[in-house]
Amino acid sequence: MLALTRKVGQSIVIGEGIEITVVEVKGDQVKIAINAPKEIPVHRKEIYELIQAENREAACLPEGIKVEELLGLWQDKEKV
Amino acid sequence: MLLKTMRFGEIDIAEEQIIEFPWGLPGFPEQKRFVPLHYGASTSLFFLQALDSPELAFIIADPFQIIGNYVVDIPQDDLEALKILTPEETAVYVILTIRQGGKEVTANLVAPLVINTAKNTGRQVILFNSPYNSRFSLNTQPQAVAK
Repeated sequence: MLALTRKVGQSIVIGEGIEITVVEVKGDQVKIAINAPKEIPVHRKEIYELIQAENREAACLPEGIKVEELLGLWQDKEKV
Repeated sequence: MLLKTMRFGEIDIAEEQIIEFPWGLPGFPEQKRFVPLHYGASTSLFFLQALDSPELAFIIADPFQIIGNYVVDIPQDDLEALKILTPEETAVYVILTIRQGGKEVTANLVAPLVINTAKNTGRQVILFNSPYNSRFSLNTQPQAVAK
């Protein structure tokens, strides 16, 4: 992994369209500004990992479960 | 064209039914094309079948059926990436997870799927400062009956 030392106000450029700037350092917190093309999703890692994990779990549709049962549950909700 | 699915076998679908997710989904970056399939009589529940992986499908739902006053504040960058201009060409779904062998169903309200229905492109958006979480239970919440 590449490690670079930067001061507040200095940047790192990744490829053509991505620029990461150190905006502020306060104690153990660093504020960074990210300039990237709109189509590139940028997320805090822990939130992204949470959504990854949720998606993987959601993709595991249980074998034994009949989808009809789930739908029954759902339609009951719609009716109530 | 023929869509291969593990759950329903082969289904004949039209090109226009395919929704492109250019960035995949978190956890599934390679899966870039999906087809929503109606299942049963419900109009607000779909299988989102991966076009290139017969075994991969998600159950997705209309979040407004789950919470009548669901607020989805889509970040500007996502709207621009999807080239969404008007609410009329926007569809929002949430992914459901079946837990405990089917005893519990939860909805991921914090990371909805946002789709540009005019261009048939979508992405899973992560809402900032959202009042919702990723495991909204459809079993215990009275709001789940909002309709």
